[in-house]
Amino acid sequence: MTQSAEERRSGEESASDEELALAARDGSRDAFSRLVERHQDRLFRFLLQKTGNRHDAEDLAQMTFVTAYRKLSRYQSQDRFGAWLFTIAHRQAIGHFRSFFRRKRLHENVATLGEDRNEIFDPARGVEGREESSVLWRIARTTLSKSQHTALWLFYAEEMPVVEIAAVLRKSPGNVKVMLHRARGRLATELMKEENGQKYRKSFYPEVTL
Amino acid sequence: MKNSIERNADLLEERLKAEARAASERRAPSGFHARVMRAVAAEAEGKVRPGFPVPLVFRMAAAGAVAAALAFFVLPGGWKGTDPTGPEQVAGVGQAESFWFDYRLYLESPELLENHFHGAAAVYVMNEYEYLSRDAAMARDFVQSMAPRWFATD
Repeated sequence: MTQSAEERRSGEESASDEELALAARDGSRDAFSRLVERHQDRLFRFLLQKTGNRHDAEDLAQMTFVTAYRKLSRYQSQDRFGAWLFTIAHRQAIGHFRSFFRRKRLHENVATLGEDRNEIFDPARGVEGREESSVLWRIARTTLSKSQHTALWLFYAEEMPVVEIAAVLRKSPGNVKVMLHRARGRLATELMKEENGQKYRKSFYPEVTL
Repeated sequence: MKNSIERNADLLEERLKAEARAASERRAPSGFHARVMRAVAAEAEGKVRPGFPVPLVFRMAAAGAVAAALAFFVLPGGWKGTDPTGPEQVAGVGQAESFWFDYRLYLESPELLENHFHGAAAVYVMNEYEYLSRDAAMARDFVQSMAPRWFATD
Protein backbone atom coordinates (compact mmCIF):
# COMPACT_ATOMS: atom_id res chain seq x y z
CA MET A 1 0.00 0.00 0.00
CA THR A 2 1.41 3.40 -0.89
CA GLN A 3 1.59 6.29 1.57
CA SER A 4 -0.92 9.08 1.12
CA ALA A 5 0.35 12.61 0.52
CA GLU A 6 -0.84 13.64 4.01
CA GLU A 7 0.98 10.78 5.71
CA ARG A 8 4.10 11.61 3.81
CA ARG A 9 3.78 15.29 4.73
CA SER A 10 3.23 14.44 8.38
CA GLY A 11 6.29 12.15 8.34
CA GLU A 12 8.39 14.91 6.83
CA GLU A 13 7.29 17.40 9.44
CA SER A 14 8.38 15.14 12.29
CA ALA A 15 11.57 13.96 10.58
CA SER A 16 14.93 15.32 11.63
CA ASP A 17 17.00 17.47 9.30
CA GLU A 18 19.39 14.61 8.75
CA GLU A 19 16.54 12.21 7.80
CA LEU A 20 15.15 14.79 5.40
CA ALA A 21 18.58 15.33 3.89
CA LEU A 22 18.98 11.62 3.29
CA ALA A 23 15.51 11.48 1.73
CA ALA A 24 16.41 14.44 -0.46
CA ARG A 25 19.64 12.72 -1.40
CA ASP A 26 17.53 9.76 -2.53
CA GLY A 27 15.56 12.06 -4.80
CA SER A 28 12.73 13.50 -2.67
CA ARG A 29 12.18 17.10 -3.74
CA ASP A 30 9.51 17.47 -1.01
CA ALA A 31 12.06 16.59 1.66
CA PHE A 32 14.42 19.25 0.34
CA SER A 33 11.55 21.72 0.25
CA ARG A 34 10.99 21.08 3.98
CA LEU A 35 14.67 21.68 4.64
CA VAL A 36 14.49 24.99 2.81
CA GLU A 37 11.45 25.98 4.88
CA ARG A 38 13.24 25.12 8.11
CA HIS A 39 16.52 26.84 7.35
CA GLN A 40 15.71 29.76 5.07
CA ASP A 41 15.26 32.33 7.84
CA ARG A 42 18.44 31.38 9.71
CA LEU A 43 20.47 31.31 6.54
CA PHE A 44 19.04 34.62 5.36
CA ARG A 45 19.88 36.29 8.68
CA PHE A 46 23.39 34.86 8.63
CA LEU A 47 24.06 36.12 5.11
CA LEU A 48 22.40 39.44 5.84
CA GLN A 49 24.84 39.85 8.70
CA LYS A 50 27.77 38.96 6.47
CA THR A 51 26.86 41.19 3.54
CA GLY A 52 24.84 43.96 5.21
CA ASN A 53 22.68 43.97 2.11
CA ARG A 54 19.28 42.31 1.71
CA HIS A 55 19.55 41.70 -2.03
CA ASP A 56 22.97 40.07 -1.77
CA ALA A 57 21.78 37.99 1.17
CA GLU A 58 18.80 36.69 -0.83
CA ASP A 59 20.96 35.79 -3.82
CA LEU A 60 23.59 34.09 -1.69
CA ALA A 61 20.96 32.16 0.28
CA GLN A 62 19.44 30.91 -2.97
CA MET A 63 22.87 29.93 -4.29
CA THR A 64 23.60 28.14 -1.02
CA PHE A 65 20.46 26.03 -1.25
CA VAL A 66 21.03 25.19 -4.91
CA THR A 67 24.65 24.25 -4.18
CA ALA A 68 23.51 22.13 -1.24
CA TYR A 69 21.00 20.36 -3.49
CA ARG A 70 23.68 19.70 -6.08
CA LYS A 71 26.10 18.35 -3.46
CA LEU A 72 23.62 16.20 -1.54
CA SER A 73 25.36 13.08 -2.82
CA ARG A 74 28.38 14.11 -0.69
CA TYR A 75 26.32 14.68 2.45
CA GLN A 76 27.18 12.22 5.23
CA SER A 77 24.41 11.24 7.62
CA GLN A 78 26.64 11.70 10.70
CA ASP A 79 27.07 15.40 9.91
CA ARG A 80 24.53 17.86 11.26
CA PHE A 81 22.68 19.23 8.26
CA GLY A 82 22.59 22.78 9.67
CA ALA A 83 26.38 22.89 10.08
CA TRP A 84 26.85 21.44 6.60
CA LEU A 85 24.55 24.09 5.13
CA PHE A 86 26.34 26.91 6.95
CA THR A 87 29.66 25.60 5.64
CA ILE A 88 28.37 26.08 2.11
CA ALA A 89 26.94 29.50 2.97
CA HIS A 90 30.22 30.65 4.51
CA ARG A 91 32.08 29.65 1.34
CA GLN A 92 29.49 31.34 -0.84
CA ALA A 93 29.98 34.53 1.15
CA ILE A 94 33.79 34.33 0.79
CA GLY A 95 33.34 33.85 -2.95
CA HIS A 96 30.98 36.80 -3.01
CA PHE A 97 33.55 39.07 -1.38
CA ARG A 98 36.27 37.85 -3.71
CA SER A 99 34.18 38.71 -6.76
CA PHE A 100 33.20 41.97 -5.06
CA PHE A 101 36.86 42.94 -4.81
CA ARG A 102 37.44 41.93 -8.43
CA ARG A 103 34.53 44.05 -9.61
CA LYS A 104 35.65 46.99 -7.52
CA ARG A 105 39.20 46.81 -8.85
CA LEU A 106 37.97 46.57 -12.43
CA HIS A 107 35.56 49.37 -11.80
CA GLU A 108 38.27 51.68 -10.48
CA ASN A 109 40.11 51.28 -13.76
CA VAL A 110 37.15 52.76 -15.57
CA ALA A 111 37.71 56.45 -15.03
CA THR A 112 34.62 57.64 -16.82
CA LEU A 113 32.07 56.69 -14.20
CA GLY A 114 30.35 59.20 -11.99
CA GLU A 115 30.43 60.10 -8.33
CA ASP A 116 27.95 57.44 -7.29
CA ARG A 117 30.29 54.56 -8.11
CA ASN A 118 30.96 53.73 -4.49
CA GLU A 119 27.29 53.23 -3.90
CA ILE A 120 27.17 50.70 -6.69
CA PHE A 121 30.10 48.66 -5.49
CA ASP A 122 30.36 49.25 -1.79
CA PRO A 123 27.61 47.63 0.26
CA ALA A 124 28.78 49.58 3.30
CA ARG A 125 27.92 52.83 1.54
CA GLY A 126 25.00 51.78 -0.64
CA VAL A 127 21.62 52.87 0.56
CA GLU A 128 19.20 50.65 -1.31
CA GLY A 129 18.77 47.26 0.25
CA ARG A 130 20.92 48.12 3.24
CA GLU A 131 19.69 46.63 6.48
CA GLU A 132 21.37 47.09 9.79
CA SER A 133 19.54 46.72 13.04
CA SER A 134 22.33 46.27 15.57
CA VAL A 135 25.25 48.62 16.14
CA LEU A 136 27.26 45.90 17.82
CA TRP A 137 26.85 43.42 14.97
CA ARG A 138 27.58 46.13 12.43
CA ILE A 139 30.86 46.83 14.18
CA ALA A 140 31.55 43.09 14.24
CA ARG A 141 30.92 42.83 10.52
CA THR A 142 33.06 45.78 9.57
CA THR A 143 36.02 45.26 11.90
CA LEU A 144 36.47 41.52 12.38
CA SER A 145 37.81 39.09 9.82
CA LYS A 146 35.22 37.12 7.89
CA SER A 147 36.02 33.97 9.83
CA GLN A 148 35.91 35.72 13.21
CA HIS A 149 32.59 37.29 12.34
CA THR A 150 31.16 33.98 11.18
CA ALA A 151 32.37 32.24 14.33
CA LEU A 152 30.87 34.94 16.54
CA TRP A 153 27.49 34.85 14.78
CA LEU A 154 27.24 31.08 14.81
CA PHE A 155 28.18 30.99 18.48
CA TYR A 156 25.87 33.73 19.79
CA ALA A 157 23.03 33.92 17.30
CA GLU A 158 22.83 30.29 16.21
CA GLU A 159 24.08 28.93 19.53
CA MET A 160 26.11 26.42 17.57
CA PRO A 161 28.62 24.30 19.54
CA VAL A 162 32.29 25.08 19.03
CA VAL A 163 32.84 21.67 17.41
CA GLU A 164 30.30 22.46 14.70
CA ILE A 165 31.66 25.95 14.15
CA ALA A 166 35.06 24.33 13.70
CA ALA A 167 33.54 22.07 11.03
CA VAL A 168 31.98 25.07 9.26
CA LEU A 169 35.25 27.01 9.24
CA ARG A 170 37.46 23.94 8.69
CA LYS A 171 39.44 24.75 11.82
CA SER A 172 40.21 22.87 15.01
CA PRO A 173 37.89 23.48 18.00
CA GLY A 174 40.84 24.98 19.88
CA ASN A 175 41.47 27.38 17.04
CA VAL A 176 37.81 28.44 17.09
CA LYS A 177 37.97 29.13 20.83
CA VAL A 178 41.01 31.34 20.32
CA MET A 179 39.25 33.04 17.40
CA LEU A 180 36.17 33.75 19.54
CA HIS A 181 38.30 35.10 22.36
CA ARG A 182 40.17 37.45 20.03
CA ALA A 183 36.99 38.49 18.28
CA ARG A 184 35.42 39.52 21.59
CA GLY A 185 38.56 41.39 22.54
CA ARG A 186 38.67 43.23 19.25
CA LEU A 187 34.97 43.96 19.40
CA ALA A 188 35.24 45.37 22.92
CA THR A 189 37.99 47.68 21.75
CA GLU A 190 36.07 48.83 18.70
CA LEU A 191 32.90 49.27 20.69
CA MET A 192 34.70 51.45 23.16
CA LYS A 193 36.06 53.58 20.31
CA GLU A 194 32.59 53.87 18.78
CA GLU A 195 30.83 54.72 22.00
CA ASN A 196 33.43 57.08 23.39
CA GLY A 197 34.46 58.50 20.07
CA GLN A 198 38.06 58.09 21.11
CA LYS A 199 39.71 56.56 18.15
CA TYR A 200 43.07 55.80 19.67
CA ARG A 201 42.17 54.98 23.22
CA LYS A 202 43.93 51.92 24.50
CA SER A 203 41.84 48.77 24.81
CA PHE A 204 40.64 47.76 28.25
CA TYR A 205 40.46 44.25 26.90
CA PRO A 206 43.74 43.71 25.09
CA GLU A 207 44.15 41.25 22.27
CA VAL A 208 46.09 38.12 23.11
CA THR A 209 48.79 37.00 20.75
CA LEU A 210 50.20 33.52 20.63
CA MET B 1 34.78 38.23 42.74
CA LYS B 2 35.20 39.18 39.09
CA ASN B 3 37.60 41.86 38.03
CA SER B 4 36.67 44.69 35.68
CA ILE B 5 37.96 42.89 32.56
CA GLU B 6 35.83 39.84 33.33
CA ARG B 7 32.79 42.02 34.07
CA ASN B 8 33.24 43.86 30.78
CA ALA B 9 33.59 40.57 28.94
CA ASP B 10 30.36 39.30 30.53
CA LEU B 11 28.55 42.49 29.56
CA LEU B 12 29.75 42.17 26.00
CA GLU B 13 28.58 38.57 25.80
CA GLU B 14 25.15 39.51 27.13
CA ARG B 15 24.87 42.31 24.60
CA LEU B 16 25.95 40.03 21.74
CA LYS B 17 23.27 37.52 22.70
CA ALA B 18 20.57 40.15 23.17
CA GLU B 19 21.22 41.89 19.87
CA ALA B 20 21.43 38.55 18.05
CA ARG B 21 18.04 37.64 19.54
CA ALA B 22 16.62 40.94 18.31
CA ALA B 23 17.99 40.21 14.83
CA SER B 24 16.35 36.77 14.88
CA GLU B 25 12.97 38.40 14.25
CA ARG B 26 14.04 39.03 10.69
CA ARG B 27 12.63 36.55 8.19
CA ALA B 28 13.45 35.61 4.64
CA PRO B 29 11.22 37.62 2.26
CA SER B 30 7.89 36.22 1.20
CA GLY B 31 8.14 34.15 -1.93
CA PHE B 32 11.73 33.21 -1.16
CA HIS B 33 10.93 29.54 -0.66
CA ALA B 34 9.16 29.32 -4.02
CA ARG B 35 12.04 31.11 -5.70
CA VAL B 36 14.57 28.67 -4.24
CA MET B 37 12.51 25.65 -5.22
CA ARG B 38 12.17 26.93 -8.77
CA ALA B 39 15.95 27.26 -8.93
CA VAL B 40 16.33 23.76 -7.46
CA ALA B 41 13.88 22.36 -10.00
CA ALA B 42 15.81 24.01 -12.82
CA GLU B 43 19.04 22.59 -11.39
CA ALA B 44 17.53 19.12 -11.09
CA GLU B 45 16.33 19.22 -14.67
CA GLY B 46 19.71 20.46 -15.82
CA LYS B 47 18.20 23.50 -17.48
CA VAL B 48 20.43 26.15 -16.02
CA ARG B 49 23.41 26.39 -13.74
CA PRO B 50 22.94 28.25 -10.48
CA GLY B 51 24.14 31.81 -10.24
CA PHE B 52 24.38 34.11 -13.16
CA PRO B 53 23.67 32.74 -16.63
CA VAL B 54 26.79 32.47 -18.75
CA PRO B 55 26.23 33.68 -22.30
CA LEU B 56 27.38 31.42 -25.10
CA VAL B 57 30.07 33.85 -26.20
CA PHE B 58 31.80 33.62 -22.79
CA ARG B 59 31.56 29.85 -22.79
CA MET B 60 33.17 29.80 -26.23
CA ALA B 61 35.86 32.21 -25.01
CA ALA B 62 36.55 29.96 -22.00
CA ALA B 63 36.79 26.91 -24.25
CA GLY B 64 39.18 28.84 -26.51
CA ALA B 65 41.34 29.81 -23.54
CA VAL B 66 41.58 26.20 -22.41
CA ALA B 67 42.51 25.09 -25.93
CA ALA B 68 45.17 27.81 -26.16
CA ALA B 69 46.61 26.85 -22.78
CA LEU B 70 46.79 23.22 -23.85
CA ALA B 71 48.48 24.18 -27.09
CA PHE B 72 50.96 26.44 -25.31
CA PHE B 73 51.91 24.34 -22.30
CA VAL B 74 51.16 20.70 -23.00
CA LEU B 75 51.70 20.07 -26.67
CA PRO B 76 55.21 21.58 -27.10
CA GLY B 77 56.83 19.35 -24.49
CA GLY B 78 54.68 18.73 -21.50
CA TRP B 79 54.15 20.52 -18.22
CA LYS B 80 57.30 22.09 -16.82
CA GLY B 81 56.57 21.36 -13.20
CA THR B 82 56.85 23.88 -10.40
CA ASP B 83 60.54 24.67 -10.52
CA PRO B 84 60.66 28.08 -8.80
CA THR B 85 63.62 29.08 -10.94
CA GLY B 86 61.83 28.38 -14.23
CA PRO B 87 61.17 31.45 -16.40
CA GLU B 88 57.38 31.06 -16.26
CA GLN B 89 57.42 30.78 -12.49
CA VAL B 90 59.70 33.79 -12.03
CA ALA B 91 57.47 35.85 -14.31
CA GLY B 92 54.45 34.61 -12.38
CA VAL B 93 55.97 35.55 -9.04
CA GLY B 94 56.76 39.04 -10.33
CA GLN B 95 53.19 39.50 -11.47
CA ALA B 96 51.81 38.22 -8.18
CA GLU B 97 54.02 40.50 -6.13
CA SER B 98 53.10 43.43 -8.29
CA PHE B 99 49.48 42.51 -7.87
CA TRP B 100 49.88 42.34 -4.11
CA PHE B 101 51.42 45.79 -3.86
CA ASP B 102 48.76 47.25 -6.13
CA TYR B 103 46.23 45.66 -3.91
CA ARG B 104 47.73 47.13 -0.77
CA LEU B 105 47.77 50.52 -2.39
CA TYR B 106 44.18 50.08 -3.40
CA LEU B 107 43.24 49.39 0.18
CA GLU B 108 45.21 52.49 1.12
CA SER B 109 47.15 50.95 3.95
CA PRO B 110 48.39 47.57 5.16
CA GLU B 111 46.67 48.27 8.44
CA LEU B 112 43.33 48.57 6.72
CA LEU B 113 44.02 45.39 4.84
CA GLU B 114 44.86 43.47 7.99
CA ASN B 115 42.19 44.92 10.20
CA HIS B 116 39.23 45.28 7.92
CA PHE B 117 39.42 43.06 4.91
CA HIS B 118 42.28 40.81 5.78
CA GLY B 119 40.51 37.43 5.75
CA ALA B 120 38.96 37.63 2.32
CA ALA B 121 41.80 39.71 0.90
CA ALA B 122 44.51 37.31 1.96
CA VAL B 123 42.60 34.35 0.53
CA TYR B 124 42.10 36.30 -2.65
CA VAL B 125 45.74 37.33 -2.93
CA MET B 126 46.94 33.84 -2.10
CA ASN B 127 44.74 32.35 -4.82
CA GLU B 128 45.93 34.93 -7.33
CA TYR B 129 49.52 34.26 -6.37
CA GLU B 130 49.04 30.53 -6.62
CA TYR B 131 47.41 30.89 -9.99
CA LEU B 132 50.22 33.06 -11.31
CA SER B 133 53.14 31.19 -9.76
CA ARG B 134 51.55 27.74 -9.98
CA ASP B 135 53.01 26.95 -6.59
CA ALA B 136 50.67 26.68 -3.61
CA ALA B 137 53.44 26.47 -1.00
CA MET B 138 55.18 29.54 -2.38
CA ALA B 139 51.89 31.42 -2.45
CA ARG B 140 51.21 30.61 1.17
CA ASP B 141 54.73 31.57 2.24
CA PHE B 142 54.49 34.84 0.39
CA VAL B 143 51.15 35.87 1.86
CA GLN B 144 52.24 34.69 5.28
CA SER B 145 55.31 36.90 5.09
CA MET B 146 53.24 39.89 3.96
CA ALA B 147 50.24 39.40 6.23
CA PRO B 148 51.44 37.37 9.20
CA ARG B 149 48.61 38.58 11.38
CA TRP B 150 46.01 36.93 9.20
CA PHE B 151 47.67 33.58 9.68
CA ALA B 152 48.13 34.17 13.37
CA THR B 153 44.49 35.00 14.02
CA ASP B 154 42.76 32.72 11.55
